[in-house]
Amino acid sequence: MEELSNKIIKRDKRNNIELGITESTQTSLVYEKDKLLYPHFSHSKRMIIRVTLPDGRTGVATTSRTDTWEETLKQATKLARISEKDRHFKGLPVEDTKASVKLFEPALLDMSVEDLGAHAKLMLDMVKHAKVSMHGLWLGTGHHRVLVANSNGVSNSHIRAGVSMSLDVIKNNITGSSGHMFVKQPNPGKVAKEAIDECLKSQNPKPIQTGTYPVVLEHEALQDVIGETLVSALNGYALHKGDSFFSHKIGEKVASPKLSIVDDATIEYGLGSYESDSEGVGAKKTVLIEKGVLKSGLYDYYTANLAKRKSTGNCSSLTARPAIGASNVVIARGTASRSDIISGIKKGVLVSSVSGAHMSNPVSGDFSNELAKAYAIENGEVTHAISSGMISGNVFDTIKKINAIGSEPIQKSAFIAPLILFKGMQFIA
Amino acid sequence: MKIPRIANEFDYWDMLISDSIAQNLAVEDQSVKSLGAHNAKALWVRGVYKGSWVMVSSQNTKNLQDAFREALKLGRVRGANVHIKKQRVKDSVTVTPEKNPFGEDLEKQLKRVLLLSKTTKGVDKRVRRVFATLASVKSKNEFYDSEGSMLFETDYKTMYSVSALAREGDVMQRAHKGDARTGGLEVFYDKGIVGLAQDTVAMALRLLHAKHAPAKTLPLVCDGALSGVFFHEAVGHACEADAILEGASVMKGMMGKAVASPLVSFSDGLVQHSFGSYQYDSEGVKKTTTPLIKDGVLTGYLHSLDTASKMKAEPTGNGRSQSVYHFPIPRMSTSILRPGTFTKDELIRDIKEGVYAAGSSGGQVIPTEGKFVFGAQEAWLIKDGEITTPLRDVSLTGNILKTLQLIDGIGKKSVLSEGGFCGKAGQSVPVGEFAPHMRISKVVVGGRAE
Repeated sequence: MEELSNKIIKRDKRNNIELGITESTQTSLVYEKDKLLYPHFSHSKRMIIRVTLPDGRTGVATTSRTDTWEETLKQATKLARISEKDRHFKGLPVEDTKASVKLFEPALLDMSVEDLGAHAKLMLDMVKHAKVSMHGLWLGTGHHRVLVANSNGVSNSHIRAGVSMSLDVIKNNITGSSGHMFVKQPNPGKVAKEAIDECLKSQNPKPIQTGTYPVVLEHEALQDVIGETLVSALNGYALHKGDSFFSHKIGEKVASPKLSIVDDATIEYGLGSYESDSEGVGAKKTVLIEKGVLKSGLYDYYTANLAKRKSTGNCSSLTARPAIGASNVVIARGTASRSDIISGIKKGVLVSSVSGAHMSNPVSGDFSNELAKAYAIENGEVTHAISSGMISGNVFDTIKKINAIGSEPIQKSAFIAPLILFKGMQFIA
Repeated sequence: MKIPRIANEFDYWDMLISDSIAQNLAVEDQSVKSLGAHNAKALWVRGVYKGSWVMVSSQNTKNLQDAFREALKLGRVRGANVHIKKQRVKDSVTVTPEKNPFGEDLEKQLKRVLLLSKTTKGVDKRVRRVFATLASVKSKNEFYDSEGSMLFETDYKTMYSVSALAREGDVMQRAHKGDARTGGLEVFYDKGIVGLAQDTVAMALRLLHAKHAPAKTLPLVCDGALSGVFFHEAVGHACEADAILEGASVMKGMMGKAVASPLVSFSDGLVQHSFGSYQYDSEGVKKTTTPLIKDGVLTGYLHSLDTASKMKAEPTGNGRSQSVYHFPIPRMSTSILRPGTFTKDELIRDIKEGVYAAGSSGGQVIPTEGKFVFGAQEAWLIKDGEITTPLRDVSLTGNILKTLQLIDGIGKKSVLSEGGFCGKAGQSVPVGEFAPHMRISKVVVGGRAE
């Protein structure tokens, strides 16, 4: 890979060349109920070349055929020539300290299709034993190798590997599900237990009345209702252009003093961690909101120059400029345990997951989410599943009304957060 | 095409080779944000080995022997039994675009996208930012199977979009218009730029002053685009045979029974230019129109080879995959709701209080529980038979089977809605809807009390 990349970078000395090569293999098992539908092996390769002329005109070309890279380089250059000049373009990143981050346990590279089969069997047995039915199961293992290089001498490569499992179970038409990506020891038992537990505690759902209640959002619901809108409002480009609710508010109080959020690509074994971003800028940790005060947004190299800041190492792709994405989004833990939080609620709602997260409006912050898994809290105890309903409000108002943040963070994706209790949220039955 | 001898080890096999080129243009205001050209070539080799499926995907399209050998290796884990019965097909089909996106000067295409952006920005000074895109894909597929089939298909798809971000004081709203169809640049070029710019900005400005929707149960009239998405989400997905096999559908065990108001006839099929149209599915099965509901009675399911084998049914040409890296599963093509007898005014005029909703901003179903939720791009309050105050961020939710019985009026005229991508089981495929206005006597409208 490195040899090929050197050849490509050296071919054109006048223009700014950036290169990304990804090569992946994956083995997976897909189940339909308790039967294996098919095993799948796949191998893929993709090369992306971005050419930027000295005046900022840019073109991008991608291909699955790395042997015809000369054609791809020519195509990107041709596109750059018909593009528009960009006076904000200030060159490519230079060699940056590449963070050294452990991404996975090397033993995971040797997983076979039979190993996956054994994990599946363990889960199928647990499901059978719990007297719930299988609804769907997917297991996959694989690795991909990524190389990022540019004509300023940046050349970084890394390998990622992991085992992913997702399980859905069902009883009386009520589902339960769980999914994890493991980058250390795979734990199929944990996935099965979570799915079974969710299914069982969601049985016999009952309605509750429309009203304003204290609402506890658990990990998945918190990410869908609050997390995604915040990340899009913290996009450095939207901030700079005045297109974000947070524009011109750096240094101002935007949330409850209980809320602190960082973007951290350097967490060992973090699911959103990396050593360098898609432009080759080293992974960093960036404080976004500290005790309710807006501190920074997320920046790629181009936007950082535009806003006269430093790249936070959050370039997500070479396909467009800018392209900004979060790594691991971490909500700082609070002091209250889960049981303390729940026992303090007289009448409230605990939301595990919502459906239709894409129904929220990231620009205005308004949301209106149908509940997928939610439970009633009465006199300090979770009493029953709620049959249906919606929660609605505005993300930017809601983050000012935090009552308590849990002390036990959960890492299930690149979003790491404990549960949060919000003062009053509208619930519609 | 020389098939290696190792292929004889399989009870059934098929091979799909896909070779595609694509280009995309994206501009923000008057600056170019991305200008890209892409190509990809890859294949799948899929087989039934000792009674169960195995599949290999690779971008190495030269070494077929290797792909078949890898597939045999996967046979070490045993799967569910299938028995594929299939007819041999030999055909060559080509979509011919009026204006070939890959023949037309790219610079000219870029100028038109920049003009759209400039025109949109110029409509009103409250428009802060405009994004516009144009993208085209040409794909060439070759399909072979153990029954001796040989298919060659060439297809073009083109999509464009424009979105305007408007701001007044602290209130910001974004409006989006666009279309995606099977065909070439005519999809974009035939659309008048000024009209498109004005429509988009008008929507953004209306949203700035729109009120939150009342949170309650109300009668609803939807335009064709939204009725199309409702039927796609709530009914079409429930008729996909894998959902029936998994027990994840309200349509399970309902064949021959009344599942909707007798006004409803719904099918999946061919509509010219629709983003979801194709002649053969990814498994080399010819697509024909499949009636799903006739006069309120359930009449059919949508099948892939796998589900047809398991349910002892005929495949319906709905075995689709996102790419050669994905296993084909039952998917819709174009969802077609048969027109009724009402004009839009007739549907609205006897509603005392209700909602008129237009366009879709996405939707989702929880199939096992029979619930649906979808969002309207725009909505208005209906008061005493008249469309009045604009509403924003309206979502609509209910129980699928109950709601289908509550459809009490269907419009006269169908529209081919803006095509789009539908996601299921991690696969995204192009789909379309062809539907008229409809009225539902009661739907839960989500919003918030002011």
